[in-house]
Amino acid sequence: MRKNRFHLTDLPSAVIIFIVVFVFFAVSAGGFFSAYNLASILTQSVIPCLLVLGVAIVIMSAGLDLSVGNVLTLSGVTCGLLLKAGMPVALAMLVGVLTGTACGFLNGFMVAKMKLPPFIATLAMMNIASGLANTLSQKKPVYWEREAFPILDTIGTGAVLGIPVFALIGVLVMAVVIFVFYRTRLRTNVYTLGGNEEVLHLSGVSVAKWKIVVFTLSGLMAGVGGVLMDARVTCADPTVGTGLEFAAVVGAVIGGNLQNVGKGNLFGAILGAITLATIRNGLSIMHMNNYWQMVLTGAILVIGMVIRELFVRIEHKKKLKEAEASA
Amino acid sequence: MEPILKLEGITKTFPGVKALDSIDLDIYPGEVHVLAGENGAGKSTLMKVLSGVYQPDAGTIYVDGKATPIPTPQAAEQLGIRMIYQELNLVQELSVARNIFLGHELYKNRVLGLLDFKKMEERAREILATLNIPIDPSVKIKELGVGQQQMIEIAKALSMDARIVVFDEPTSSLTDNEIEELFSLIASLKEKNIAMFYISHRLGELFEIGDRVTILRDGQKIDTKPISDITMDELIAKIANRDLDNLYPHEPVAPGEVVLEVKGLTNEKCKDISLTVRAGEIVGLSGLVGAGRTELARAVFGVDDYGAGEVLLCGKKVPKHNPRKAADMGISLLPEDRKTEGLALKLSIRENETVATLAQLFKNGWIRAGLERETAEKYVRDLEIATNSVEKSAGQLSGGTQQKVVVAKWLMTKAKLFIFDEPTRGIDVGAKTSIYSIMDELVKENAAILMISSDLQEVLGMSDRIYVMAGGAVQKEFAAGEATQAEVLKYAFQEG
Repeated sequence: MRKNRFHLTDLPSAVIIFIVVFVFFAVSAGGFFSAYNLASILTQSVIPCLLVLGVAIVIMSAGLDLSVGNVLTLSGVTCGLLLKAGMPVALAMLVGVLTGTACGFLNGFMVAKMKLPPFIATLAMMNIASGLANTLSQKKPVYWEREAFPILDTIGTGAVLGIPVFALIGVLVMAVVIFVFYRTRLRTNVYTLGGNEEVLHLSGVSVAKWKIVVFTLSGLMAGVGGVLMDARVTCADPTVGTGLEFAAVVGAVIGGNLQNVGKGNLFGAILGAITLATIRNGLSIMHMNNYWQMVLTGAILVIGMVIRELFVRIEHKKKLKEAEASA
Repeated sequence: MEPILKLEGITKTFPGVKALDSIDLDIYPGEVHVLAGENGAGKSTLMKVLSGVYQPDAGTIYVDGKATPIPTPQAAEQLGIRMIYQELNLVQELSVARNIFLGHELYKNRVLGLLDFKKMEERAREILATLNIPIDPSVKIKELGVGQQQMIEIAKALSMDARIVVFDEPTSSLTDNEIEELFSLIASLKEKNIAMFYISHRLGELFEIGDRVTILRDGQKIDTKPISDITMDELIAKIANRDLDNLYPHEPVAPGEVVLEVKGLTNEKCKDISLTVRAGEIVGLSGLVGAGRTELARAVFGVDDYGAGEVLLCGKKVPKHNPRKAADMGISLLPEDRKTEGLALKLSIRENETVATLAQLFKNGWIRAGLERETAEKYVRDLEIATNSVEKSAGQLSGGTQQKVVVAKWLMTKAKLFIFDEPTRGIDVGAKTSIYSIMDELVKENAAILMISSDLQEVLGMSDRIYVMAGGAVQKEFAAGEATQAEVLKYAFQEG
């Protein structure tokens, strides 16, 4: 009887890239391989990891979400303005999160109901969110009375038993998403959307509804990221999320999440996001400027795809050999 | 007894073709009602109406005597109508159990949406056991063979209460053993009073398991009869309704040099295949769906890679896995699925025709619109492509006309070897005849043709020689006139 086997193509290229990058910096960047620095890489990874989960799920459902960076910004600005106006902190954060969720829902609606290609719909949302964030904040960081909201400082910089609260919350949210993904219908339906959405339709499941669910989830993650970012940097900067969408897409892709293959890997996506955070961290230790980080992030995307293609070829050769052996 | 389902005056029109013309049909509990007809006769369309995928333009569906519209697949599912589709509708990366329960998962906690994997696997194991399918439910679909996947498809359909089950070509990719298992499964469903529609091109099967037969032709119902009241010959005559001699105009010419020689080609789907095609010859490649014919064509043309073996064109080696080079050397492949592989539906006839030959036509790289247009128009005239302009987009044309555009595209390449993969599938009789005359013209001009076809009469009527494939290997070679339908079928059913 047939058994499940390991296929090289199931291995995200992020695994290889991460090992290479990590070893490289550990050897050549002084201070990189210290407990303090490794902890700070993890803390820096929290928000990219939240975004990458949402984006990875969208991508494996054959969609794309380019808006998460700016939706994060808009959520953060909304929350910041409400704090500035003196709204209770829990309510302000909730509204911030809901702002992101609503943007995600609109993305899903445009894709599922208005039949816009995901690329177009989320590109539009990317600009709408950025425009709104800049208008609402009058292009200036929004500050609120810090003393009024001590809980925000606890979230942003506090620690429980030596573990940063910020990372704790991030890990908790990630755990919930991963649990929901693997333990509910979400994974089945997302894979089916990505593999062949006709199958879902013929199985009596609403394709439109699940597309909306997937994009809304991505918006939710951006919303959570936005309010956490507020707590972390103690203000709401209208440019804070710019570029984060690219990091999320790259992280998801090198983490083994591709369009139209009908599968995905959330752990790979998280490793992908951590890999990019590691690169950023290592380069800044080596005093390389921001623009080199951009160059390298772009290059990593290409390298990740090349590694994957290599895996595909090796698997293919293996299959050919097996077929010959059995013939 | 009341019929469980009755269709009355069902009509469905697609752009350019009346797919169903006022069809009446009924089925009783425990009955196996077989539908017979050629490709494009309307069988699958009718079943798609029944399963809520298509909405009829006119007509009424009665379930248990009550007029019941079936607006969506979900509605059909609630009525207990289950489809087993010809194409596999499974998610490769999910386990057998997850596929069986796709869309109606079992929950540990319904409110939180937590799935009960253990229970689904157990239930799947039970379902598979009652159907005598020896497959582990935790295995991913991608690890299974096509025959096994087909059985999972059936298990999936039967995992919920079913009253009417539709089998659309369920045996097209099954082995003899698997077919036997399927038939005993159908017999046990009969005992449970489940009504079944059964569509198959393998006419022998219809007599083996059918109670009644309905014959469709060109969207019309020809007859419904108890299967015991009809003979095979009568059935074939009703399905085809035409004089075979008139349909196939092929006049053999004296074969010339060997154009294509395949020696021991072996890959995932092909086992040690050797064959030859001479100039001026139409060589038929017969066999069942899944026998490896298309895969052989793809390997010869270089679309797919292969391990052992070689391909020679006029004595020169054709490089592996390099369609560009194969095309340069003079091989043309007219793919099976013209909509996804042969045509860009949004582009015009002109653009579709010239896309493969632009580099030959305009050597310096600049396209001269006038010349391109003239060339395109010449082929439209030569092939009698029914259109008022070469600028019409390919998507607006009927199936037969589209196929002619694909043919025109490859004729322009002036290849030495043409591989036609199912050249007349899904096109009407008139268009078929003109495709046949084009093939005849080609061999008169000394081209070599390898024709893959599942239409046995077509293979017998058009070929100078016939190879029969099964299980990825060539089982038998026939010279013209040597082969009969029964002989070819005998080898097609053989498993290598």
